[in-house]
Amino acid sequence: MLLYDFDYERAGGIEDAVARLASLGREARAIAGGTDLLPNMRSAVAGPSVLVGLGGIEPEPPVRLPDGSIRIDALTRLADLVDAPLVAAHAPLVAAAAHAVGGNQIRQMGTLGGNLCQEARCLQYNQCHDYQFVAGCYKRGGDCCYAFPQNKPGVCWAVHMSDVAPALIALDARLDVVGEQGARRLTVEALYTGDGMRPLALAGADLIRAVILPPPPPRAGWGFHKATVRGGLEFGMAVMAARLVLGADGTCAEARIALGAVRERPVRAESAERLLAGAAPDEGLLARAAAEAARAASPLPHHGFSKRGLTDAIRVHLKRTLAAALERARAAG
Amino acid sequence: MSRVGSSIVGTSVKRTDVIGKVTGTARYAGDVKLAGMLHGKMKRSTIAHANIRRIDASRALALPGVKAVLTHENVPRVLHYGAPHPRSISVTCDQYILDRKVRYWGEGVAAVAATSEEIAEEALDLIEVEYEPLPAVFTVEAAQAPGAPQIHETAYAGNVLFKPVVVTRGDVAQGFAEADLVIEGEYETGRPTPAYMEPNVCVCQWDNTGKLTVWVSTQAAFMVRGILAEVLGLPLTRVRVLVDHMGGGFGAKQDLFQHEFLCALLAKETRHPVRMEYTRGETFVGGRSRHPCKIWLKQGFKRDGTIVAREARTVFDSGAYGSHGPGVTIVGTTALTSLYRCENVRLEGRCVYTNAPIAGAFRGYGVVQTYYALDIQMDEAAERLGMDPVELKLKNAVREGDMAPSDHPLVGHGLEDCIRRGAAEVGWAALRQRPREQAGTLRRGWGMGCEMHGSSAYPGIKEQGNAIVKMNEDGTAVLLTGAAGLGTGAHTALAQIVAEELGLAFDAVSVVHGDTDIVPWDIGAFASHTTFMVGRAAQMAAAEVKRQLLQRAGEQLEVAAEDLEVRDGVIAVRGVAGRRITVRECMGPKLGIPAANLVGNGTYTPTKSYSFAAHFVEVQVDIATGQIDVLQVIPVHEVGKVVHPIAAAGQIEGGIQQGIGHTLTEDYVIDPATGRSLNAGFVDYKMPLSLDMPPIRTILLETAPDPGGPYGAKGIGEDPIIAIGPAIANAVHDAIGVRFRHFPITPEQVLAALKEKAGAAA
Repeated sequence: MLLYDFDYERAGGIEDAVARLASLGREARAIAGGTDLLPNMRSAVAGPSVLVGLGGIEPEPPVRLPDGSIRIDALTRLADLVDAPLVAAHAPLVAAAAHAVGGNQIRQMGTLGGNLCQEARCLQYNQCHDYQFVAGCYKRGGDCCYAFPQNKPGVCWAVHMSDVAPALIALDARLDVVGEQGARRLTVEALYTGDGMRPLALAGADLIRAVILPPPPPRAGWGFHKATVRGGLEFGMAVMAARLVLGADGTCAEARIALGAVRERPVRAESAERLLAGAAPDEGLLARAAAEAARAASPLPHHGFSKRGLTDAIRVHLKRTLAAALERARAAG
Repeated sequence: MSRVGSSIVGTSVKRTDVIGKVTGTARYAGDVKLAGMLHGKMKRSTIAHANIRRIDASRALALPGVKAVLTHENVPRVLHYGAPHPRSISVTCDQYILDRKVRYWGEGVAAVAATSEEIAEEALDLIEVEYEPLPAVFTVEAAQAPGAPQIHETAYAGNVLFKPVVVTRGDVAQGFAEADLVIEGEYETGRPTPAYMEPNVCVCQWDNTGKLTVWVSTQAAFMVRGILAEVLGLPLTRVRVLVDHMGGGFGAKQDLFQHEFLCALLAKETRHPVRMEYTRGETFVGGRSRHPCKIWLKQGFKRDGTIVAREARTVFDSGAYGSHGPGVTIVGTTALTSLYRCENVRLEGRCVYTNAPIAGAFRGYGVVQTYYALDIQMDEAAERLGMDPVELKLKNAVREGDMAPSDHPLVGHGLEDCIRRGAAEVGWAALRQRPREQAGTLRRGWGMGCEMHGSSAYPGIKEQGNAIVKMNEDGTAVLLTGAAGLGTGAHTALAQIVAEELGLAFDAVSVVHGDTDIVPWDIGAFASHTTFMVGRAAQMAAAEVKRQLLQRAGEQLEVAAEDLEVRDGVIAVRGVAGRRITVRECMGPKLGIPAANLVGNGTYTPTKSYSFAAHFVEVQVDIATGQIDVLQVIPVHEVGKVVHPIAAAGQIEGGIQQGIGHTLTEDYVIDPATGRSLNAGFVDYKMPLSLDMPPIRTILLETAPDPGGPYGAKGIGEDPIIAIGPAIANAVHDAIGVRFRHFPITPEQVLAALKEKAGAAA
């Protein structure tokens, strides 16, 4: 399907963009790299009549703030995030997650903020709708669900596919959001509603301005894995990010684990984190934690992967991801 | 690189198409832009099986910018073949441009021409179609069940396309009675699609004499011309088909597609040129996939590995139209008479309509499916006989004089040569003895698969290759050929053959192709036959020009033509130093003598030659995740004579990539309840990427040249996609002891099979 006609307004800055979005109302959407929005407009799952372009706003380079935290402009291209020395030195988990997105062309256009704000996906929802799935599903304003016909009306199990969000959750990042009511700070988890119909907890004029990564604690290690069918140009089958912080005695002082591409929102695996916290991590414990995370996440079947297959995949890959994090934490100590 | 003389065939000269392709100046059908050109779009059905009760285009016609709308009510109703070589047994005559009935979800029901693509698309929504739904069937079982809805009135019986093919040799019952080991298995293959880079596209224009010109991406320009002329009621002088470059076809672009007829009719109706191009999604839905296939195979073996009986039943799912269903079924089924020798054979192949999108010709043409089954079962037999699979396959490999599936004797020992060479190359015997990984979760395995494939579609079609070679007065030459250049480098190979034969530099030969009004008739580029068949025709045409050239030179040098030879552009008296004349001098005008007019015509009607291959593959299976990675491939191909080593290796590497996709990741999924396509696009249809490709160490052998091909050359196009599949499946078995009998093999299935195996062992 061809891209339809729409108006385009180029924002002079973030505040200007917010003001334009506020005055244009529901018909408008912000566009940064457009790697998610434009394909969705082409397949008629997004239909803004006006785009407010953020492309003219030069992102500020990543910077280390006086308190040791790192501020990354939300308009930073994913490719630049991969290459930024400050990110590589202090938040390699973010660089790894950014590198896992799409292919190089996608990363050259797609932005950090855009990756977090991508639309949830479902095999049927993301098809072209001119002769297939013509009548809208719940998410497209209709009254059916093609993927899960037995679902209650209005329940949408589209899956949120961000690769970067789980990494940011594992690092306990914060988001600087600007909107009509001014600026506010959110956790990354608070960005997501958990509702496939409307996955983002943002108002129409809200924009993420920056991501703040708190100062990395000592003896911390990270792990990241994106399970995919092939080597690149992929949405995840399951995405997992973890950070383990060790105490001076080698026990696990803190664990943060997040999963992507499993449900309508990135999922934090708190019950698995609790298993690890305070315990002496060994192979068996990591396996138990991974199994607990897989169980608790209760992945939705998506893109041909069964719930059982996804649970198996998370169990195995997360254990390896935790092992990688533990190894790095020990090396850091 | 400009090479001369006898080194041209066998040298990787710079391909004639590469500069145009890498600089973007090569012209494809989709690049054609004509003054006043309109854009056509097709409305596709929103149901898999239905009668069209009412279709109303009035609102679409009222939309500003819309110039014409076609429905079944205003297009010619001519039952026609959808595939080339009409009236052959390979294809079916079962389609209309637009019918009163739809047979799969997404079939075209109307077409619009408008001043822009956007308006055309908008107009599609304004066409109202009322359907009378019919029960639909999406599996061959459902399609053959009692009471199943009949999809075509033209079918042989029920939904069976044509009379099932039955092949018998010897006495199967007797063979099984003598067997020490009988193995039977059921095998099932998926629905990969060719996924060519260039979507289907055509531009049509009528001139004021009533002549239609079509720029189109097709492998078979003369077939497009023939069927268009037949359906539109035109003499062939009123249809001209042009094909310059193509972005792949893989067999599927032999067919005529609905939009090609509609584009011509829209152009006629509007008196404007019209362009129609498929979206990527339409290349899936309105394209041609491989036939999903179910194979029941049973073989009997003696203790020493001799095969004493083979019995098989195959069922190919043709989807909503016949396309190449009969050809694929016949070729795929009869292939089971061969590869591994067996005197007692009984095979039955059938092809069945369903309400799925259309399956058609695709690289490997039925043999991908049946040799997958055969070679996996050979591996299983070796295990149960306690033999090395290489030894078992070598013991039974077809050889010189054996009857090929085409019922003529094979030339040479190509298959044995491939197996032996590959086994030596990888150190197979030592690999069999290697210690196996016990720790960790990674298990490595080696597997081997074999194949043979014919160059040309004989005996299903009696083919014919044609070429005209003209020599210019400066001693350069022009080859006129109808062979399509679908990206394989065919025109380069043909020019090499002409240069070689004429004793000219490669650069001294140019190729004219892709215009049905100019070049000699051509059957189309398929069946791995272009280099073999058209190459031989080009060689014959060049030889005729050479004969005339030496005749002329003989007169000039006052020697007999038989005493002359031509090399590097120079004609010399054999064995006499100094008595020479350049080709240019010989050809050009002299005082009072005009330049020569030398034209050679070559026509070649081949039977068939067979190429052979053995693929050796190492895989790694993660037993925790079920992930299968192909670590390396050593393909050994016997092709008679290598014309262009890099292009030949490129064919092999591309075939392996496609074959890895078939075996592990690619499957075009049709919703079993409704017939909707679930992954008609490159995000969700998973082709392997460059990142996924293992190292490939290609070995080309020239040990069994075929006297039918130019310099002994045989085909290479289809072969590489056939052996890779069973090689991977056999390697997976070697790694984890699980025998898969289907493709694609997914990680979830690997895990499930490992669990089952562990459960059975416990």
